[in-house]
Amino acid sequence: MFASRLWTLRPLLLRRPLWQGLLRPLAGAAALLFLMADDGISSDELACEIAVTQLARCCPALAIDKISCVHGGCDSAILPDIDEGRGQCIQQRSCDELQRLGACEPGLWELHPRCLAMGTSNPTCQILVPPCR
Amino acid sequence: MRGAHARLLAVGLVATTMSGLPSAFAASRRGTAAPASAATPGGPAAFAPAVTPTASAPASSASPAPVSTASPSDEGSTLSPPIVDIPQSPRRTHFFGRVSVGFAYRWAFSQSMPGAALIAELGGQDPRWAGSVRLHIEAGQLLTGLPHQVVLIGPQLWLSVHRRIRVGVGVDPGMLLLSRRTMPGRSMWTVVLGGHVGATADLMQIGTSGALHAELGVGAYGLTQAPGPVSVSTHLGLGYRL
Repeated sequence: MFASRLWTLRPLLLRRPLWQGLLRPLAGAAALLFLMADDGISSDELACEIAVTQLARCCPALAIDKISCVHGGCDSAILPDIDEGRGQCIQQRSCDELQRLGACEPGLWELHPRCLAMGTSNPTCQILVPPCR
Repeated sequence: MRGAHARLLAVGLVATTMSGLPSAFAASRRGTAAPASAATPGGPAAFAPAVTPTASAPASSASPAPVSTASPSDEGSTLSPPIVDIPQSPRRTHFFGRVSVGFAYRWAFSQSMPGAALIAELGGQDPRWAGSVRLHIEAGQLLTGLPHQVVLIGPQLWLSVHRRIRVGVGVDPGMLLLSRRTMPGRSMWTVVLGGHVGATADLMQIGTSGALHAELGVGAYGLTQAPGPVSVSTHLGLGYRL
């Protein structure tokens, strides 16, 4: 009986287990995914993209391709046009409220707080963002 | 002289062992001769059990072994070895494949993310366990309208706890992507690491081993670089198992 059990176990012991063969590629893939994740999904990018989705839904005629929601660059110098606070504000407003605030009229948009902070020192900063209070 | 006797005895023992006589001898000594149903039809009942691992030998022997009336004392008689089909071991692994489609609900970034899920598995199984590599693809939309996709691939283990019920557990490395609204075709993404537990209930048997089944699963995942580091998901689906 013991001998027959050995016969059944021996192929299992001698053969390289499947999980051992898969372990290395899986670990490699996980490491690669981790390295490739770059900056991942940042909260301001996400808030901006969701706000743009809300604007597109409430203002179908609005050209949303003018808005940038990218966070990146060297030292994360590139920031989304719609910051996290403004993005969350837009998310929470209904379409009626956004239209009343002027978010659907690019002519009523206000200068980005970053440009306002620069004052007259950088007149080229002309980023306009939808108002939301 | 004694050596020659011993050698003869050894040869006789080997011959009887190969022809299965010891079991017949033991059975006859116990007074319980092997029943005819336990042997290969057409073959001698007394010879089969020595090499047949289970009592349920298949009815289709390759060729009937010659009937011999050899008694335990006929050590010198020549017996042609019986031909016995050894039935397939129930522990032998077989191919395992499964595909399932259904509804998925995910919670991440403090948002509800309903969607559709496609699950495909390939691996091996025996009557109790199944192991596979599982691919989980999920596509849907945040309630706020942003499309998302999830791709997970990892090992999966299933345990049969009932004739129709299997429970499973798996590890799911992969990625979660959010399509950008501002740049169509571009995505933000993060690595997903986690695991899930699930269960399937067979609804209808198809073929010898296939089954149409319902599936329920729950998973928890860590998002390596995303706001809100945890995502919880559940899915309900209908699938087919090979």
